[in-house]
Amino acid sequence: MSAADSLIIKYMGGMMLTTTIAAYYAISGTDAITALGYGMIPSMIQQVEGALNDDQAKFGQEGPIKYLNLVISAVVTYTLLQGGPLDQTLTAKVYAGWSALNGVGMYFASDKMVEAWGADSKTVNPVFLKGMGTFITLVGATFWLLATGEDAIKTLGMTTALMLATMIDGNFITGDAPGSKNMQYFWMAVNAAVCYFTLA
Amino acid sequence: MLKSIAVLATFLAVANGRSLQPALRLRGGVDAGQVANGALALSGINAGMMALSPSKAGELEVQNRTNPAPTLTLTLTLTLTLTLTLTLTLTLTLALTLTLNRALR
Repeated sequence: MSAADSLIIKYMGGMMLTTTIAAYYAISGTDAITALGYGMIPSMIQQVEGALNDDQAKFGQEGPIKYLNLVISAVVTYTLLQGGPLDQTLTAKVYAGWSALNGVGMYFASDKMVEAWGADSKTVNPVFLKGMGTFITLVGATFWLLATGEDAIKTLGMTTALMLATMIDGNFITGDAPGSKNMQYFWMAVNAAVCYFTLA
Repeated sequence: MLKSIAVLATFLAVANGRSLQPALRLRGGVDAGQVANGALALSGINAGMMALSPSKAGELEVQNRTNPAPTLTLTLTLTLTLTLTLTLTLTLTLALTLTLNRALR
């Protein structure tokens, strides 16, 4: 596994922490905007660490675009947690749209999206790029649902349903799901159960 | 052990003229919030592993699909069996408690 592959997995973990922390705080009664702000913290830490270590160079990125994601995330995190000149709810919704655009693009057209970000798609396993698309979309969905006032438990159920749909796609349609079949089936069963108990 | 509990619970329920169904209906007895917290805990552990040890997490992800590691399969089987057994035991214990409670009234 290449260094770029490891970084992608690390970023996917960071995004998963974003959705998990945001959902946890929202379910615990914290207001949606603050919960989303708390969720952004792990991703922010990863991006600052990445900028200091010049991780983006491992994907072939050069120039100012290397710092675009860091700047956007910093503005969003600051706005959600501290307020400021931007409207908090609008910022969360715009970030949801931005994430959905990038996530869906990365899922269905990984190569083109990676090129749009000035990176080299050959540095990363395509399966991981597709996975990255899933996680970016999940962040977008979580932001949108919580920012528009959806119930936190239903939000978790809907994002889990989205994850389940991509797993069904990877296992039964495109057939490119990573990992063992047992592991995939186990997580599909867990996700299906979560959907049933939170959405039904 | 489980058979004895099940038989006893059924006998008491029938003797008491009541149905066990409400106590055995999992969905009715499971709170969506508890499920959500459990799912978030699992998700958090998975995410933490991916964020803190991406190489190890990656190795688990890219292993050969047609020949999964026997230890992994065994671990999953044991986990699922244990979960199923615990769920069944808890459900039957709950059913027994409810039935005894009703019978003693």
